[in-house]
Amino acid sequence: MDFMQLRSDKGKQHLPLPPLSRLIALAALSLSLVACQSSSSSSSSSPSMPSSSSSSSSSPPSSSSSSSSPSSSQSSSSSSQSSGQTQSTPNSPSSQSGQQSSQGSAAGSQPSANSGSAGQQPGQAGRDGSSPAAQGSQQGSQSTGSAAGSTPTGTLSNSPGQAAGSQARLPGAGSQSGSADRAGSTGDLDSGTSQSSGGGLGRPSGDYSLDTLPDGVLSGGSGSEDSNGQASSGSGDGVAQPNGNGAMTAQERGEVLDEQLRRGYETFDGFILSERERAQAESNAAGSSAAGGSAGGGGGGGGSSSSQPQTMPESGAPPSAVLASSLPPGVSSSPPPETFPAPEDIPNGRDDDVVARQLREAAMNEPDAQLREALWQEYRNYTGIGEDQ
Amino acid sequence: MSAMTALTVQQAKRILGVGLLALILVACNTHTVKSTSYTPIVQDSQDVPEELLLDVGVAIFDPGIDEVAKRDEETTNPEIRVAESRYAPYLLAETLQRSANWGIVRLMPNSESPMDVYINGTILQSDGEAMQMRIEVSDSSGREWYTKVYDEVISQFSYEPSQRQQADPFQVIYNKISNDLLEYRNRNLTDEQIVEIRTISELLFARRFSPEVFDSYLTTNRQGNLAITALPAETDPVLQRVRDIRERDFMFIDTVQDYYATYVRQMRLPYDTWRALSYDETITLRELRDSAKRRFIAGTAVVLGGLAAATSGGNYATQTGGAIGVGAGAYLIKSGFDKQAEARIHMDALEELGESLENEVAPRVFSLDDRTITLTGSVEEQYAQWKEVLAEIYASEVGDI
Repeated sequence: MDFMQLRSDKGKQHLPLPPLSRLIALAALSLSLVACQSSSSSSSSSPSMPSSSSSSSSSPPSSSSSSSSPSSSQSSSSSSQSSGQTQSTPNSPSSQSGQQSSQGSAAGSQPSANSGSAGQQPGQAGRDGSSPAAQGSQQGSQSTGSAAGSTPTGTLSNSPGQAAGSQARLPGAGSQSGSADRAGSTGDLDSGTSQSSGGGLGRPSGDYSLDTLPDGVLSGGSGSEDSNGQASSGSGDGVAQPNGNGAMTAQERGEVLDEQLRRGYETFDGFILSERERAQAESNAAGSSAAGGSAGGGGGGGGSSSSQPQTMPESGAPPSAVLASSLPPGVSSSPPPETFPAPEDIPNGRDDDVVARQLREAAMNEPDAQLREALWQEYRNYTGIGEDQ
Repeated sequence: MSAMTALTVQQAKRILGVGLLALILVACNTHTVKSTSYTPIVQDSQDVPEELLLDVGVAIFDPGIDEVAKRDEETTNPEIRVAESRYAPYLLAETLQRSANWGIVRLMPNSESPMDVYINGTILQSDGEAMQMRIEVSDSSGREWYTKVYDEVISQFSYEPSQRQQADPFQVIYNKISNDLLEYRNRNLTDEQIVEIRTISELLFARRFSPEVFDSYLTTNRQGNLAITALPAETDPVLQRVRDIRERDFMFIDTVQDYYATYVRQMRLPYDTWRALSYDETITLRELRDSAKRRFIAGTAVVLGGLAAATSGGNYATQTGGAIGVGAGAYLIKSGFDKQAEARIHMDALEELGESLENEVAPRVFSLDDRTITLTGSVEEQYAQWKEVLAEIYASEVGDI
């Protein structure tokens, strides 16, 4: 009984305490609510990124930043790629998940960078994707992509650094975006949550634009900068330049376009040099020993600036004589393909377009009679000769 | 009676005179002057600084098929003309380059790429014995330098292997063109004008790629020629980009030169063989034709004289003489026909030769054109993209977007 009284007394004694615990509980609840609000707001701020936002909950800053960057519509595919990869590493411990997700996003950002750049300048899409020589620029875009995705972990700070380095090699755009990436990388390291909170503070579409992002909104100056940097770089890689009109300064835009021009140069140079190599090899095969004169012209030696006067020897004949004799054996290098005359009803083809010419060439070079006739028939169909007749 | 005798003597004299004239006509051979002298390439005596060297673009020649004389129509093979229209300008470009009087000299695949000096040509005749071409020269401002017809008749000597080793049988024509160009430049162009021409061609190229920027730098004067209104800054980034692209345009043109070099090498042997054979046939044909023509004229004259003597002759001797004259004239005319038939054989031989070469070179011409057009298409596609990028750069710099 005493024991019971004692317990009831204890209970009475504890009666006055509940308000404190309630207050604490309420405070904890409010804090959690605040936290919940911020997270929900961050996810709501990236409506176009379905899976990335969910993954962002596990590795919040990186995914949220990446999700925010692609906010411009075109990058959704690229971002979904990166998010897909982040999800594909579920077993990784949380400490590693940041790294892996960032790596994943980096890996995923390669295609996204390409597609992003393709999306940026509509007219350039094909070029960007197809330019084989534009490794440097691709590196640059990759690095920006990785920067966007990788910022959460310290290890990833290397990649942006590398990215900046690789970009620095490329004149123009690389330097600026590279610096932006650096800022972004450092800022991201401590701004993972701040970003989300920044988003919570409500920037409905603020991710899109450098100009529209109020600096004061974000928690830290650096944080805001790198969120900007990420946004710009992310959108720049993935999307950016399409609507980047508003997002990029004229100088930045000019640099990006310059970069495109440079990529075009690389592609063109590679193409034209290989074509020259081929043409010179054929020319040499046609009579390397031939005509000094023609040698000058074809000039193997002439190289790109080929024919210097001195390299154009007079001429020709002995070699031409030699040429005749050397042609048959010269077969080893590149014998001229045997040609077969066109059928009677085929006109001379001087007005043919490229396709018709290719058909004609294929037909003339086809040793198999049946195939040759089929090709000629195709030629007739294409050029409408059969219809005329 | 004496008057009658005098008439007869006079008529006999006339008949004799006509007969002699006919003989002279028949015997008369055409006299062709053939040049065996060699005109070397003249090199400018003074060293020209690089910035004063004009780049020369030689266009593919006009085959001149529309201008073939009627009598040559049968012996002129259009396909060979087309082949020559790519062969001859290459040799001209090579000659000009060798002269060292110019900057780069290129055979141009099209007229899109501006050069300082343009050379257009039309082949008027080419039969192995003679070559005739009309050359028109202008510069990038549109000013016509001159138009001149060059022709050369060569001797069989030019086809001898020892000579052929030295140069093309008609190399003299190309040397003369080169020398005339040099002379014109030295006589008519000041250094300032040369610099202006070079600048105009650069601005033309720049205008092709960025018309919104460079349109205003050029204007057309009252003579219809281009003139410079202002100059872009040397540090103008757009100009730098355009120069980068122009370097690549030169690379493209250089690549096409390799195509042409291959073509010329492949064509040289069969073409030379054809020209050497055509040379003989052409001379024989011309001689036969001329001989036939003379025989027709002489025969006709003799027949007419004979007829006159036979009809108006007062005595037997005159009438007999007239009859003989008619017979002789008829024989001359018949021999004229024989010569014509013989000429026909040689004409056929020439046609056969032409067809033979045509079979040899036509596929090569086709292949050359095909490759050139294909490469040009690819390059133009790239150029179109660059133009877009340059336009975007300009727009972003101007704040247009």
